[in-house]
Amino acid sequence: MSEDQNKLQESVKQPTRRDFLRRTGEVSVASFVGAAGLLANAKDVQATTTWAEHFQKNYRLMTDQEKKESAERLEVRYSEEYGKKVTVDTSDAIDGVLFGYALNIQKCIGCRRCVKACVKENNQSRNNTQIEWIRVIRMEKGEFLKENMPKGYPPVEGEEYGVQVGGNAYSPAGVVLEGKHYYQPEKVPEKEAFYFPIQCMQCEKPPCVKVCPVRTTYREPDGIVVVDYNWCIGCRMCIGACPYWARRFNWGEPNLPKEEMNPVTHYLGNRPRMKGVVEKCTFCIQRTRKGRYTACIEVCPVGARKFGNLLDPDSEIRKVLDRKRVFRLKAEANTFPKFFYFVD
Amino acid sequence: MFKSFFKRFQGQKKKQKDGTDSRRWFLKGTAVFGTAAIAAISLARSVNLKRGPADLQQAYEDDVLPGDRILKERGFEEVSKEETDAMVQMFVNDYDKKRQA
Repeated sequence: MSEDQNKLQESVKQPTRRDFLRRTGEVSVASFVGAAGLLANAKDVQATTTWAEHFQKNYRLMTDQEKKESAERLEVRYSEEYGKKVTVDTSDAIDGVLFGYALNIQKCIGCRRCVKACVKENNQSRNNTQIEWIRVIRMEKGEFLKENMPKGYPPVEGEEYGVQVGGNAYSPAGVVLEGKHYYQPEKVPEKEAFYFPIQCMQCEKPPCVKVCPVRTTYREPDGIVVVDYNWCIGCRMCIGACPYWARRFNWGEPNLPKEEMNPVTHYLGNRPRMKGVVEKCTFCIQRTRKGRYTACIEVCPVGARKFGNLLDPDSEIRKVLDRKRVFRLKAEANTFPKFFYFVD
Repeated sequence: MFKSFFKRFQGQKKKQKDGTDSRRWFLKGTAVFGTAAIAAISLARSVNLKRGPADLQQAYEDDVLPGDRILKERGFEEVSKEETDAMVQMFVNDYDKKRQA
């Protein structure tokens, strides 16, 4: 074999730097083409989740066009996942509206229809009572006298209840049967109990918003405190900050059966959530921004729940605040909740 | 992994003295090591994420049940008419201020 032939063979066997660079270039081009192909096919569910959704901005920093595109991506993904036409609304707050809510604790019969309606309307995980946005706590009732509500506990022989913190008129006041939140009585209301529904108070100065390190939870102009689920990192700071224990964390993948999924959703409200994010009551944002009542109000059989625009002096909520005896849950911080309790 | 990597690196140094191509080896080694490190970190993270708390139901309960007790202890307080009016006025003023801003 001649010397020239040997050199030629050697040069064929040994990859040169140029070969290396060429191959790297080819791989890079192929990767870009593949990624572009995935992104170009907008109906590819995988593409939407892995690329566009992953890299999208915080919702409140998005332009209207970006919001629209984001909602469209979600609509395609949810429709495919749940086998029905799902809409994701991105309606902004209605101008001149600030929502407020009032609940008549005398009227509440503890039927928990509000809880069930809320679960269905807001696509909450099924078969997990601890993640429900509304909690109805059953409390032992003594003799109820509304005149005594701001007074202390009545003296009970042999019992020392200490300093009155509740301001209730029950004897002994406000004893929660811990672990029996999901009471199953034969019928409601029970004679010896009264009911105390709690949900997000949509505070005017919400501490949960202040502590969020990624600003994923914020207060909308209509007073509703919302969460951008795509931006939530699951740090649970807001859960610790909420004085009303109104936030829920998805420890596992939510269990939402296809056939039970409510297809009318809002980006900041009842769209399906994922594992590792926080969720909470949004005053049924998908309804109230369309001029409808919340699900819990619609379903309440005794009309204990009132809702309206705090800026309108003729609204239901303003009439309640003007004419009824109003109570609020005590809290150390001045968060100015827009959820009130009242008695006739 | 590190030991073998450095052994190979030292070996390569010897080879370099022998006149073999070391830059290619170095690039290859770095790429392999980088990929392996990223893969290991990703795997550990995904396993950790998937694992979550041992008892999910307990985790859900721990998030909520203590709150019921605390809220019960707090109870209600009556809001006077003046305070209610002042609060409503504050809501209205805040709204106007934010709208103007």
